Amino acid sequence: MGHKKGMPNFSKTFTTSSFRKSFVTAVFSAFFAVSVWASRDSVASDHGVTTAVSTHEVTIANHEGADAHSAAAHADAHGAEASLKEEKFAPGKMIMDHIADAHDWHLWGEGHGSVSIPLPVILYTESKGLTVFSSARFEHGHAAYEGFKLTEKGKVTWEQEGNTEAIYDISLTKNVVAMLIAVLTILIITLGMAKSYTKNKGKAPKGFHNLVEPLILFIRDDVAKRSIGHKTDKFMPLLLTIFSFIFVNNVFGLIPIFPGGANVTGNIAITMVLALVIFLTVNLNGNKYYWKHIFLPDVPVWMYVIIIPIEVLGVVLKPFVLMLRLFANITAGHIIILGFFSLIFIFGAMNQALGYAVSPLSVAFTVFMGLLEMLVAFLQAFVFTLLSAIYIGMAVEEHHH
Amino acid sequence: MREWGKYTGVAFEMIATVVLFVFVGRWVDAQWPMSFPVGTFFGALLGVGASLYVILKKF
Repeated sequence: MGHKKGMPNFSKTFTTSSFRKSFVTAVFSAFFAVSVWASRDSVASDHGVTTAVSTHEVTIANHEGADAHSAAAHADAHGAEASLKEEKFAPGKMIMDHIADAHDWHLWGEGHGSVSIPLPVILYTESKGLTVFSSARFEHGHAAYEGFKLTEKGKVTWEQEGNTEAIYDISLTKNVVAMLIAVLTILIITLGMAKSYTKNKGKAPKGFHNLVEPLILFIRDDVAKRSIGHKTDKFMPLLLTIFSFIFVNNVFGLIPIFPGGANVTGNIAITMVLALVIFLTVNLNGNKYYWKHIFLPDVPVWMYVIIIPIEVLGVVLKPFVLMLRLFANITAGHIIILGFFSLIFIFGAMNQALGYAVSPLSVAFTVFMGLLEMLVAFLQAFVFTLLSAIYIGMAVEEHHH
Repeated sequence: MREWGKYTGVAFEMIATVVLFVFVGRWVDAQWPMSFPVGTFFGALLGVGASLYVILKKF
C-alpha cells in the first residue's frame, strides 16, 4: 500500500526492529542497573560476612544487616521474604495448583494468608442425597464439613478413611464459573450485535462490533467456506460457537486475576468434550463416500486387513489430536508464565540480591510470553476451528477422486 | 483446504499404526512363545511398512 503525500510515514519511523532494539536495550540496562544496585546494597550491609556464599545462614545474616540499614520501603520486601521462608517455596506445587481446577478461586497470598473466592460445593451421595455448601467451610483443606474433606489435590472425599461410597461432585468449580463467565461474555457480545444489526439495517457496525464482525466473516469465508463448500451454512453455528468459546476462554485465561486466570481450555476434560462434539458431528454427517473411503478403500482386497484398522484408527485419532493440541498448548503457556515468576522466588531463596537481579529479566520474559500467548490464544482457537471444518468438509464431500 | 486436510493427522496416524502392529506382535509372542520375539520384530517391521504405504497412498 502506498502512502499519501504529506502524511508522516509511520511504518518507517516506528519499525519493528527499532522497537525491538530499544526494548532489548531497556530490558538489559534495567537488568544491569538493578543487579548493580542490589549487589551494592548487600555489600554495604555486610558486617563480618564478606563472601556472598549462598548458604542459609549467610542469607539470614545478610537480611538482618540489610534490615538495620535500609529504608522502610525495603523492610517491606524483607518482611515478605521472611514470611516466605516460613513455608518453603515449592514452584511445582504452586504451578500445578494454578493450572488445576479448584473448589475456590484463588486471588493472592500463600498458605494461611491466601485470599480466595469460595465457590459452592454441590455433592450427591446415595446416603446423604444432595449436599450444598460453600467451599469456605473447608478452610482451604484444614477443616472437614458434614463428613466431607478436601484432599491435597483439591478433591472432595469422605472424612473417615475407608468409606468407599461414591461421591458425585457436581460443584461449581473454578473452571465451571470461568466457563459461565465466558459464555455470558459471548452472549452479551453476540446478542448485542444481533440487536444492532436489526436496528441499523444496511449500515456499517459501530465500535466494538466493528472488531467482531471481521472475525466472524473470517471464520465464515476463509475457514468454513473453503473447507466445507456449499454446505457451510449448516455447520456455521457450531464452528462459530466453538471458535468463540475457545478464543474467549483462552483470552480470559491470560488475565492474571479474578474474571480470568482459570485454565479452562487447558483442562483435558473440557477439550475432550469439544473434540467429542467434533467427532460426533463428523461421523453423523459422513456420507457414503466418507464411509466407503474407510471400509472399502481403493487398494487390493488382501490389503484390507491392514488398511481398514488404520483408517478406523484415523477416525478416532483426528479428534484425539484436536483434544491434545489445545490442551497442551494452553497448559504449556500457563506453566511457562508461572515458571518465569517462580524463578524470582527460587533465586530469591538462594540469595536476596540474586532474586532482585533476576526479577526484571523474569518480568521481561513474562511480558514477552504474554504477548506470544495472545497470539497463541487466537491461533489455537483458529486451528481448532479450521481442522474441525476440514474434517467436516472431508466427511460431507460429494464427489470422490 | 480439503486437499491437505488428510495430511493433518499424518504424524499421529503413523505412530499409532506402528504401535498397533507392535502390540499385535507382542500378543502373538505371549500366545506362542518362541526363542526370540518374532511377533514383535515382524510386527514392528510390518507396522512401519503399513504406515508408509497408507501415507504414500494419500499423495
